Amino acid sequence: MRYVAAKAASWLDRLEKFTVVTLCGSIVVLIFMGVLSRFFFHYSIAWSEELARYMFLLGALFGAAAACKTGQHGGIPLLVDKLPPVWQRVTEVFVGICMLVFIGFLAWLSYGTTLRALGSGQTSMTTGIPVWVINGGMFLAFMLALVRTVQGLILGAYRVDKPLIDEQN
Amino acid sequence: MQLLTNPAIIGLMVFFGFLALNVPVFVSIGLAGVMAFVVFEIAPLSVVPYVFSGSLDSFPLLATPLFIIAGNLITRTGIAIKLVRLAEMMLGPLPGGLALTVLVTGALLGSMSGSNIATVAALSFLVGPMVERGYDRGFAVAVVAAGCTFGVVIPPSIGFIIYGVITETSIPKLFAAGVGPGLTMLLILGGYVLFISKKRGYRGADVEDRNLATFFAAFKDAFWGLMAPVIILGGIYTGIFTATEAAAVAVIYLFVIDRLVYKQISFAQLPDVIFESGRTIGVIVLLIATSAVYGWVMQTQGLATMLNDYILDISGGNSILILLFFNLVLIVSGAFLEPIAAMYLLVPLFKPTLLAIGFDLVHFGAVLTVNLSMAHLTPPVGVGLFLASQLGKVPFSTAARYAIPFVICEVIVILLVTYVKPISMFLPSLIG
Repeated sequence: MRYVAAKAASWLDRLEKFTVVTLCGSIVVLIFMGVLSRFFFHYSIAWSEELARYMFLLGALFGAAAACKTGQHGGIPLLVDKLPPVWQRVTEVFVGICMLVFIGFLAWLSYGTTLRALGSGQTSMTTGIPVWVINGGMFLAFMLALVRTVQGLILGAYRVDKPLIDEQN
Repeated sequence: MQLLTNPAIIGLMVFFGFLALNVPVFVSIGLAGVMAFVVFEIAPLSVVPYVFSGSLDSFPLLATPLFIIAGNLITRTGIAIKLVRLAEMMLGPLPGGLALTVLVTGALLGSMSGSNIATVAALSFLVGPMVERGYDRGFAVAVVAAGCTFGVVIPPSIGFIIYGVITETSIPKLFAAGVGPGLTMLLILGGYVLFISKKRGYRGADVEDRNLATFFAAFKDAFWGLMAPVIILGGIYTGIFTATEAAAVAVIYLFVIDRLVYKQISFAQLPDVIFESGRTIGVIVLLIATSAVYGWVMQTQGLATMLNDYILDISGGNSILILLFFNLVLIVSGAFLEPIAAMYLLVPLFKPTLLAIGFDLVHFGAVLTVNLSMAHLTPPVGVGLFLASQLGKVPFSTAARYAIPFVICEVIVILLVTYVKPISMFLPSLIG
């Protein structure tokens, strides 16, 4: 069981990294392509800007999900730092619950917008990409963020006594 | 009384309550915003996703992820070391030469990337050599943290991009408005370092073979790095590309010069750089989107109008007092909040008053950016100082003590930038 869980986690890590790198890397390529095309061929690629905006939205949200595992979404431990260890653990549980509730809420909202977009068949202005694809991507990113938050909580990424430097790396 | 029952004000209290319990900033601000929808039913919940994703659907904002990638590339290319060598050649033998080197390199790195936390990591290796030359370790760490504050002010800067998106002001003009304040910061912080180094007897660096030939050799090594701001800013101001496009060009340029000249990042390492950047982008994006939701609540609940009436009434419309008050609010918020969240929350609140007293929004952008750059230094949350203290192996409280004079210097810069308009507005006035 433990082996399967470790295997699934490593598979998820790779899939997540691939998604973030592809989406964020595409932003660079798309915008740079736009510059080259305008500069050398005097031709503006209309779709590259819209596509880059979608890549940004999704790449950033998947990146945010990855940051949930490492506890990079920082809080302010100023007061909690002064509490006895037992109460620190209590606040850590509270932080975990708040994160899961809020991210769960965002996932629920994006699930709703995905269904609505699917029903209406709406497409984007320039590229004609179905809007439900973008909303569905957001839903997946939030679901991944839920999983990553749980992982982060188990791995101790949200411990009050965890030094910031580990979060940066 | 009316103010205390306003959903936006109650939301603000909820926000600070969550923050006090160490709940991540984006969750605290998001829950405060959502509460106004659920508890006070100010609008249907279906508004939330539109405000959330709408806040990110902006072409100028696309420059943010690109400059973050550029910043991460810079730290890995080894350009920082070449710049350190060049700055050391010029300033090294002066009293406090290494500390001055850190400040100048920080400013140069700031002109290449839009962010500053990466600068701390790139310059913290100088803490050791500074200590060897008799500097107090706390002082060395505070200098490294102060060196990173330039990144937000000197263009290109993510802070200016986000401010430009919020206020719908010209990003090239904002970038131009950052140059004067950035140089003023460098002069004042440099002056303090020089003064204190003479007083405490911090020795200059022993720069071997310091002559014109070695200087040119160091300049040649750093040349391709130094060309980055020339290309980024030159491209923007000659109208060849927008700020967002400049950011993409910067990423490609940095990678190409690394492959051709510095040879530090292989193709195989590139995904790691982008993935690391992706996580930072994610953190920033959630802050922007959740702050936008709460900002929407503030706007619809008329908080800005109420605050504007109140401030104009109490100050009698005196712009000097109003700006002093805004700066104080920014300093206090910067000490506790992420600069980006502070910007999203405060700028819409300040905007009506600024327009009422006829204060240029580009000028205020410079004031705000200098002010919030200090947030990286000010305890309890100064992230730059925290990171520098960890990398420099000094307790945060010690580093904070040594950072106080730097904070005072920055307050002087804030006052100068606020009340001496040409410091920031001379260059933008040339753009027209």
